[in-house]
Amino acid sequence: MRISTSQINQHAIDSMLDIARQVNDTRIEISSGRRVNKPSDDPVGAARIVKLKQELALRTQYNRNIDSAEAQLRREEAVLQQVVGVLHRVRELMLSAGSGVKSADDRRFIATEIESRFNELADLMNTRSPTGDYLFAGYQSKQQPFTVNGDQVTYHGDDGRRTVQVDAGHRVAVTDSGRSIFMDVDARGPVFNVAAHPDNDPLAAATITSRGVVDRDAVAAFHPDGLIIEFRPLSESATGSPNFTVRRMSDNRPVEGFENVDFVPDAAIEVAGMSFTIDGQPQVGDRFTVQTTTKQDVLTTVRGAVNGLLNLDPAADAEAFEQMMADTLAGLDNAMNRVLEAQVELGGRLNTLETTREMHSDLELQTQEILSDVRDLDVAEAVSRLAFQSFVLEAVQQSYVRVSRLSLFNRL
Amino acid sequence: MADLFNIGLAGLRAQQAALAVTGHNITNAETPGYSRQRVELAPQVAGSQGGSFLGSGVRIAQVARLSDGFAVAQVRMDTSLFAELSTFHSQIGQIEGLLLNDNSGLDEALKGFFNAIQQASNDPSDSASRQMVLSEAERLSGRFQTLHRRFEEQRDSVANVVSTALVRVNELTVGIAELNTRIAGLQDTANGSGALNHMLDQRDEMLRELAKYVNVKVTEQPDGQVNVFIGKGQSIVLGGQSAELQQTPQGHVALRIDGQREPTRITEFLTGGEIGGALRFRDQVLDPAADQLGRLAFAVSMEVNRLHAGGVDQRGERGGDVFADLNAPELARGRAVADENNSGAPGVMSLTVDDPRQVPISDYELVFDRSGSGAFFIRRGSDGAVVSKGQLAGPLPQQVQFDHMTLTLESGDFRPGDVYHLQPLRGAAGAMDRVLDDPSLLALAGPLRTAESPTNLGTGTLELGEVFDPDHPLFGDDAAPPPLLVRFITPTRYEILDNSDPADPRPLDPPLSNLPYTPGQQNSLLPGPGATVVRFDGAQAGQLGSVTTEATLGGSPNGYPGQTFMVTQRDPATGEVLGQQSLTIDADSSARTIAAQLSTLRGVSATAETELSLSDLVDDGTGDGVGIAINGIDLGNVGSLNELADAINANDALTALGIQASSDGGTLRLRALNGDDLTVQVSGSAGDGVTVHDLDGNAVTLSSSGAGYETVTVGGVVSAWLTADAELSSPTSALMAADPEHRRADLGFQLFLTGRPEAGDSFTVEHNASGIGDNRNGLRLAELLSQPLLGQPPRSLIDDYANLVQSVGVLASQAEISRDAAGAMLEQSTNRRESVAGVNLDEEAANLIRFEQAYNAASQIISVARDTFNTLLSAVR
Repeated sequence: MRISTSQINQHAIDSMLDIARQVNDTRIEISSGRRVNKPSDDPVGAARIVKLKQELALRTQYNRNIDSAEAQLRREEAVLQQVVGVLHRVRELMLSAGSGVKSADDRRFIATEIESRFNELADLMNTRSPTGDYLFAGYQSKQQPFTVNGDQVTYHGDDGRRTVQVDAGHRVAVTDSGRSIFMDVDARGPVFNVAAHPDNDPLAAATITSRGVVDRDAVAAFHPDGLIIEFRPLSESATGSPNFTVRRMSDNRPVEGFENVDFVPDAAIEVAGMSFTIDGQPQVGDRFTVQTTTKQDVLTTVRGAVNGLLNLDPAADAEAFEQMMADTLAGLDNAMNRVLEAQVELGGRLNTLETTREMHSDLELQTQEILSDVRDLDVAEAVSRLAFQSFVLEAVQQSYVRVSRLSLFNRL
Repeated sequence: MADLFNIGLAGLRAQQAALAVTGHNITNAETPGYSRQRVELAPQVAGSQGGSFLGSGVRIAQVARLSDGFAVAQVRMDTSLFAELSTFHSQIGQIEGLLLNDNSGLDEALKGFFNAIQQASNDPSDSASRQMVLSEAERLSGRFQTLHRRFEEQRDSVANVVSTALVRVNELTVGIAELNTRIAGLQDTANGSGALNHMLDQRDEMLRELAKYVNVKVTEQPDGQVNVFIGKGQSIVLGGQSAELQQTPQGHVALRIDGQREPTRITEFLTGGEIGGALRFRDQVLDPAADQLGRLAFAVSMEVNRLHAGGVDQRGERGGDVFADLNAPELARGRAVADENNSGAPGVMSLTVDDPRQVPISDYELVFDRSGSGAFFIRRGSDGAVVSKGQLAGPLPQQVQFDHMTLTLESGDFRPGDVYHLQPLRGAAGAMDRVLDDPSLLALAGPLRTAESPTNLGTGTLELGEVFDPDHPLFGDDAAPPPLLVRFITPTRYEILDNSDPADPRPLDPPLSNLPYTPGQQNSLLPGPGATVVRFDGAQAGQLGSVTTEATLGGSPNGYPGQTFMVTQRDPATGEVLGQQSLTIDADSSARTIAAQLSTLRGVSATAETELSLSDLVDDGTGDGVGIAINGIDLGNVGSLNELADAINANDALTALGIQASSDGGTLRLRALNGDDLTVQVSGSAGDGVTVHDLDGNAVTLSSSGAGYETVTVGGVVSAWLTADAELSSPTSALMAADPEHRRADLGFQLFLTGRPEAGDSFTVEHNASGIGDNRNGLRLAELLSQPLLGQPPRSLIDDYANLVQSVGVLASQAEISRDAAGAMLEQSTNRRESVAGVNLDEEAANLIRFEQAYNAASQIISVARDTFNTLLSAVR
């Protein structure tokens, strides 16, 4: 076959360009350390790289979530530990108040110490995180969860529990609501809560206050029903004065003997073994609710102990004092158990976090290896490839020079 | 003697010419398109001399051009292919690098955004991590925009390649036509062969260059002219005539033929060459990639916005848009482009994407029928399928739905034959924009929170399910629904009430009461998405029957008519009927029986409840009370409604039937939770009586005559709960209307309850105001990244992007391989052409020597002739 001179030159130039391009590609691979620099280098590998990098980023994020969760749980654990300490101390004080003969002064001293423990406990229950979130307020993290107004303890949080994503489809709770730990504590027997209806005339500011259980059996029989106290029009009273009717919550049936009772401010009203007072100037239509419950919050229990120690004389009110002691000790034990349960559960969650973290680290390592296999360059291979390609380039250059010198014209 | 001189001279002339042609070859060795030439010699034959013919030397037969027409055509074809593939490869090389680059790829930004949401969810009250979410959202939309911009630049570059090529193509066709004319003129004249060779070379070279721009078909005519065709046989050179190619404003290539008013559009027929490569890149790589990116933008913005709207922000308000609405009117209007050949003025229409997860990646065409009847159809570009047919009807606007999109024809003059190009996804990535600008407006909290009543005796735990419709009327404008109360009537029956006044919870509208609960497993408490309820409120339903005097205890029929019910199931998207079932119920059936039978039909679960109230219990004054029996069970003589209520609730037989009474002294409310008929019978002394009321406000007083039982029966009311795809109807109107009102029953969210609640247990669901520590919606948003979302089978956002990277990568690597193969083929065919037409300098050098020797030899002939002549002269002298 004839070969034209321009062809000889063109071939040599083409092959030099081609090899130079290969040398350059190899050089880019070596300098980036990667085998796949653009999708066409390995289309399937490129798609895997995108997915593997996503996998890695997710694992890293999960571990970051676990770190954050762990910090929050450790903080809660520490607080609960302190709460247990306070409850133990109150229990000791109560036992010492009940043992042997104590003078009124002794009891007052003990009451004073329990009072300060009470405040400590309330502070612990209102603990805030470094970012200013209340630990035990549920979702209402900017709202102080527990307020104490006289003997009235109110929970302002909700039942929300924040969770953190620790793995695909796996979340771990990092908060506990104050209600579940401190409010839902079993009392020794049925007790009751009182509340004014939110729609009541705000100017009248009538209040309802609990005076405690007067007949334990009657309350137990009435439980779980509740009472609604509604102020009726003046015309319904025989005397034309402010009057109220007490109804059962379940079916609205008026309680016998409590229909259109004339209102006396701050006088004890006793229904179904429960005693309470209403004060202020309730308006017609104002309503108050009394709800029986078997739960009593831990602050009310401690507060009951303080009041009992200050007001009850073990000699004169022996029965009431005994009952107060029994109520308090049972309430404290139940509260401690409740905190303990929460601690055990918390420990379980911390364990989960730890094992999940280890799993992520293992998987992260594996993913990293796979990613490296897919994406990264075998440097030794690439360097020897570069050496070979440079060698070929030199050979082509030399042969071109040699061949181009061959011309018949040189011999003419 | 003179002959020998002449022979010598002819030899000199011939060898001189040969030397000249060799020189010409040598000097043109590097001239593109040059075909080497060769002097072809032939003996000169003279007349006879003494009976034998003597040759009279040599003559130049022709200067031959060594060219192989087949090889030239092959080079042309391979040039087209190689130019196409290398243009395709160089174009794709410019975008593929972007996709896998950490600084421009979408995956990094997607991860960044969703991880920022997780980080913010870890500590939802931390404003710094909330701000981070917004910054990452900005970065994500920036990435979308950058990629989109680069794609648009690439589109411009394609248009540029095409228009530059077209300019040169037009020059070449003019040149070829001109050469054609000159070649045809020279063909006859014998002495023009040198010039002809040159022109043929020139024309071949022009044709080769033309092939570099676009694939051409060349046919040679007997007179030496060539005709050139492109596409599907459209001629661009016909003898001495050439046609002009131009690019229309919408990027089409059109051929202008003299005498034709409109240029003919030939874009889709063009293959090969730079133009073919650039157009193929645009159609096969750039447009699908831009569409897929657009679909990702749609999916991210619509899904994030949808979930975000299901949450509440730090101010307790419903989440607003995080990303700009990609279906905004000005964007939706830009997606339909009137074809430039339309006869009517461009109409206004908007195209909105309803579900980006299902939209196919394709262009569409809206074509108005040529018949002029106003009929139109929509064709999907990817497979040519007609996805919708319609008819212009009445005044605009008119809506057409197809492939999870909605096209609204707003205004315009739609003429027969008009075409509109629909590009639903093309520009979406460029319009991606973050619009949420205040970190506190990030809705990380869930919209609702649940609480268990502290007085609950059972073990039920309530959990909030998905909020599937944040636009439900219950939520109102500010996403603050009224508090709801879930209350258990019995351990297996519950009701949902509006708890705005906790002392007096009210039924919802339509009421969700007396619903069945299965203890010990997870129950969905609320109707599912799209569920409806039909309440049987026709004649007699729930109303007092006639009063009869019976001799014994027992019931009287409720007087309900019989009726046939039909349930039709339809596909919610298309309305297509999937199935139909019917059921006939006998007259006088109790609501309980009707509900049980209806519940056997697909898509229906029916409940029944009977309720009446008693008042005005009148004792005739003897003080022995009034004798009352309920459903045939004698409850003895009672003195008050309270006493009666207690007696009913204490009766095991009645309780087992699900019959409950509650009395506040003035009114006794009697309910049969299973929907059994309720029969009230009064006996006792004459004058004893009680008034019975039904729910419709009818009342009747049963007054004992002193003998027998005054009896009245009230039937129950059936509520049929229907799934979203079911519809209830009847051929007649009786207990239920023939075409009853289907009221929306779902509340836009779901509740799950597990465990074993007791009667009286209650749970509350309320607006999550100031739920600053709540991150439920944040977690839901973060999950979006790995959820299967797009296409069929569904891929996650990242997987869809990986798929884009892979498909572009595959095309790019294929392009590289094919380009190299085409390069090798071009080299082969060039070699072949060169082997015939190329100049080899060694060969020419040898020829120089050869012809020089021949020249010298010829001059020796002259020398010999001179010697011979001199010899002859000296002999004479």
